[in-house]
Amino acid sequence: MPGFSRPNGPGSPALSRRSVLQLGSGVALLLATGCAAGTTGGGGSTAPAASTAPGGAPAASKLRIAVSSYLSSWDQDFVGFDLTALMLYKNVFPYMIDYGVTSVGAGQILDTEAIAPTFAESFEPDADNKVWTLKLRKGVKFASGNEMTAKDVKWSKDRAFAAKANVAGVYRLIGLTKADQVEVVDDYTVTFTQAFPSALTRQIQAISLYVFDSEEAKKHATDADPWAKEWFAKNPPTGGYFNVEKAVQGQEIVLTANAGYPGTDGAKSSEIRLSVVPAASNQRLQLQNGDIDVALGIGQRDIKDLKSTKGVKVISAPSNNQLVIQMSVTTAPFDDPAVRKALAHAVPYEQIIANVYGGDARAAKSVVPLDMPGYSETGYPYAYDVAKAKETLAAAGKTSITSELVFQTDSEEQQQIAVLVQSEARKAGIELKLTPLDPATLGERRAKKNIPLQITLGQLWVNDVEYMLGTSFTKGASLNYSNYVNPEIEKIFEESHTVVDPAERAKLWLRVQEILAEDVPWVVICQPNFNLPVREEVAGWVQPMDGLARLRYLSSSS
Amino acid sequence: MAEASGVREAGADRRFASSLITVGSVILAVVAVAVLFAPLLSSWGPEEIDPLASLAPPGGAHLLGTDLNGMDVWSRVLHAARLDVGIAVAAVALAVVAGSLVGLVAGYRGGWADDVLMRVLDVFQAFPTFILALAVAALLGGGTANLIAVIALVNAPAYARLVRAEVRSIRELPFVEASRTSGSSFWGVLWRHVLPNSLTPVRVIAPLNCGWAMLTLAGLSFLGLGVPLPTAEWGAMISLGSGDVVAGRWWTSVPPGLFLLICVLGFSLLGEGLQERADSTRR
Amino acid sequence: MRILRFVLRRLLQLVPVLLGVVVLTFLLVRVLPGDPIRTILGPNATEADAAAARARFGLDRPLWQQFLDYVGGLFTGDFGTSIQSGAPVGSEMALRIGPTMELVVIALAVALVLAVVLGIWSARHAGRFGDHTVRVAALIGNSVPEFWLGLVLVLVGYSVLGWFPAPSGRVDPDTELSLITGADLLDAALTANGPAFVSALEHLALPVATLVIVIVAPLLRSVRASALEVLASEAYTAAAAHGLKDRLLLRGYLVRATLVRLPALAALVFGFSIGSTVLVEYVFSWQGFGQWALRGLLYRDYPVVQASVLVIALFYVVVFLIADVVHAILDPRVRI
Repeated sequence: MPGFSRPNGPGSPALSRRSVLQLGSGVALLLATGCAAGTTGGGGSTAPAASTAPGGAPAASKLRIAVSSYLSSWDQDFVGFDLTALMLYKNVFPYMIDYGVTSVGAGQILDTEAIAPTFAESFEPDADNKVWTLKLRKGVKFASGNEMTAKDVKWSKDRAFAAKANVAGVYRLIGLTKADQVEVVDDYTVTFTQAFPSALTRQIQAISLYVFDSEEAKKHATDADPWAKEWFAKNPPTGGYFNVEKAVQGQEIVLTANAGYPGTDGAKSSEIRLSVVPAASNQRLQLQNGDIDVALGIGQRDIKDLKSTKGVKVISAPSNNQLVIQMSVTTAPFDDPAVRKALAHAVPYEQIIANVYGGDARAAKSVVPLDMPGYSETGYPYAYDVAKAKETLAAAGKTSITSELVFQTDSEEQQQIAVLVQSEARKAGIELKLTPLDPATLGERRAKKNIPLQITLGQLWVNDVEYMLGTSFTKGASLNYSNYVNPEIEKIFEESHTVVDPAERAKLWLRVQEILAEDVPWVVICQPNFNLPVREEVAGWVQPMDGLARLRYLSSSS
Repeated sequence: MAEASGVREAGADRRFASSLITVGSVILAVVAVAVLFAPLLSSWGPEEIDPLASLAPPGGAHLLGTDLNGMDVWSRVLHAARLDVGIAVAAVALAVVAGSLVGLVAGYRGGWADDVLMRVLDVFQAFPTFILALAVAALLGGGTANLIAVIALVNAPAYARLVRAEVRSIRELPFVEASRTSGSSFWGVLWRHVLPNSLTPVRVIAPLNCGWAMLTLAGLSFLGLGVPLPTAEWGAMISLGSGDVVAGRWWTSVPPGLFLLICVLGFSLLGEGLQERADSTRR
Repeated sequence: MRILRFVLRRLLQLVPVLLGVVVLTFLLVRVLPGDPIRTILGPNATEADAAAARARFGLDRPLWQQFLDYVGGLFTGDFGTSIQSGAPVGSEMALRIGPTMELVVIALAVALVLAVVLGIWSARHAGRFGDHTVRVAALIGNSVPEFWLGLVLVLVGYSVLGWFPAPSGRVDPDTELSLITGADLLDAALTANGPAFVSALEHLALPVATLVIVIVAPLLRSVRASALEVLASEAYTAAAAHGLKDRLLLRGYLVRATLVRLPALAALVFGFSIGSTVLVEYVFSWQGFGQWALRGLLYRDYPVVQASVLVIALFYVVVFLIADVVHAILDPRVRI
């Protein structure tokens, strides 16, 4: 993460801006996973208004949800990193703080700006923003009957540091690098002493502050396995919004509402049954027949049909999901800007929106996503025009180009797009070999940054260009598969940390878009809308801005 | 029934065998026509995209409609025959040659060479077909030549065994024995005497195997490890179209499924007929 | 005694084969492109994070040492730790074998019964319309791609007719079946759980039918050919001429004689089925061995791939051994 590891000056005046940026890496890591799992998660949804009665008492409703794959592991610290797992963690681990909910139009979305305590009593900083104090509620219990206390928090954080994985990685951003920075004050109080103040502490802790039942865990720890890895790989954690009633590996997970949740927004459904159904067509059949209530693994091709299917409704909304082709600017032939421009003219934008998304996507004419402050189409010259593409190539002294277009082997959507792009690029003299890659190979090649062309689909969790630059267009940024570096962009990026005035920032972003339009590291195809097919009786969907469904809001009236 | 004489059955079986062979050959001949004249039989190219029609139903400009990508199903089904039959036949031919060689050497030499070769074959046979195919496909990539190699590798041990068994029974026959003691070279004896005799069972099995090879190829494509799109291939077409069936759009997966079935059936009938003929002759 | 020596000799022959499988798998998974570690860490992991994870799974050690560790573990029944789940491979595998074996064994049993009944019937009606119909039908079944057949059966059996349960899971969760072997039908029988037994049967129907249709043809042909030989044999005609009861004839001569060839073929079909159930499992959301191995392969979960290949190979060679022994017992002509 070199792009994010600049030392934070203590007491920096531009704390708020910086926070927006630095949330980046923690969030970007989840964002990219979303891509890898080939999901169609989206943001900014307007779900139908749900009757979310206040009060934590779980209703009697039961829900059945189909997912495409089983989670890889229950151990969030050491191994679990697939989308199903991350989603389940949000629902079964007790997270001390989480995003709030806000209404947009008729629907509800998670509010990443309003982070509030859930299982905790409070989480507040001292005057210097350096020492944060977590106060636990009294009487909160794990399924074992053990009370959640400060020692559980301490043990969980020690474990996270020992794992040297996700949490330890994002904690670096807020100056937490050693286990002894987390200290127990009394049974219900823990302090986090950061090396420097940071305004993004809340954001980072929202995704990191989950707690294990340490007393139970210690029973299963051994000298060889002090962190009970083996136990937690197989046994779900307890104490979250839901407890795992039953988990049949590879097949089914039954969640029951945790009646002991101390807050006011407890689970609306008393039981949620998740079944693994790999084939999308089977999920569709089951949804149509009313054998499941929510289908999390249905692809774009079925959405149109399902909209007119009796008993089924499709929760639909414009989304911040961005579909792009990233071109490696350091790999031939795309190291030549003329070739990149030619490709940008050879992509059949409208045809992709019409054929792949049935018109259910928004055309985008900038690398800055639609709805992001600063979005501007000025200076973006690319539209589908084969003659222009040929001309551009010819002007650069090239008549034919061969290269490789990489996409995820399990994504039908990407495969369809790849086929369309290949067909049109050929007309412009660009011959592309289609290379579907499995997750392991894709991960390896991305780490080596040697993929000339790749299709990516993902969303930015923070609606800000500075954040976007930090994750995607600066040196070493984790999502910068293009290997794109531009000195002026780097300069603007640095400069923007301290620029607070929106108009000033807008000016910077205009320049950024001009540069990126000229350099074209990405071909921006479109922003497909978010679609989730559910049974008519399902209510309460809250659009997760991180793509990880909070099942506690869902209920079914049937 | 009990009163039916063995002679009558054998006669009837031979006639039935002939008709199986005939039907199988006719099917394969029709497939051959498709293979040769596919471009003439369809007005669309197999990878040509109709920008106005994705999942268009049969009729109109597209005889069998279009698939998700807007490609003409009829044209793709026809053109796929080339690739599917080509890969299957090439793979089986390779398997026969490679397997026979190994079998010949093992059966003729006997001794430790035989032991070692047989254990190696055991290893490959015990190795789960699909994992082996998947691993090799992942290793080499999904190109045509690699798929031929994968399928040949999976099939070769059976031929090796078959030929080895025949060679061992032939080896002791007087004329082979004679030429051996008369000092003919090792390969000379193999080539002139042992090989022709031992290939009889191979001829019977090979057509059946071609059908099976096509199914393996289709299965690999279904799992995304066959020929990459947009190349027309039946398994990949079925895979892509499988999601349409639930929506009532049968035309994307049923035609390739049927063509595959009929083509494999052609091979099976031919193989069955040949086997039947061999069986009844033996009786 | 002779049969025991035969079995022992054959068992000894298995050792080099299994060792070969172990070596081949170990090397094969490691030469495949793709990194097993990156998929568990996410894109933000630094090289140092990845190195730490690699060390955790022993992947930083020299190849020969990894191999010795693996083989050493095998002797103590330790298949290693799954990279994807962090759990011991052995216990995960135990959960996955039951469902697949249930599917394959039942399908093979049904196919064998069908093959024997239809094969003998076909032989006794040889050359007639019924005989030809049966054989051609079996051949057609043998020519269908199983995943396509499965999709069609789901559409017709579940969606259109509604006779069969949704292709999700293997037993109705409401029947509260307790897990013993992982083979739901067996577990239901063992715990005398009637509703679960019925539910498991219903869930099994379509996948089993798919497999049976695909594998019955070669078995049928073998039975029919053997039966024809017997029917034409002198001993049989003599016995029939002496007026032996039809049923006695059937049992005494036909069934026994036709069964001699079957074990070896059945073993072959078993081997084929267990290797190709992954497609059927996918179509019917059957979370068995094939799905598990496939996922392991796609994510380069080395220990999972190694273990699954070894176990399939073990099943394969053992079944062949059993087939050979049965053959030797049934057929006195076999030299052992």
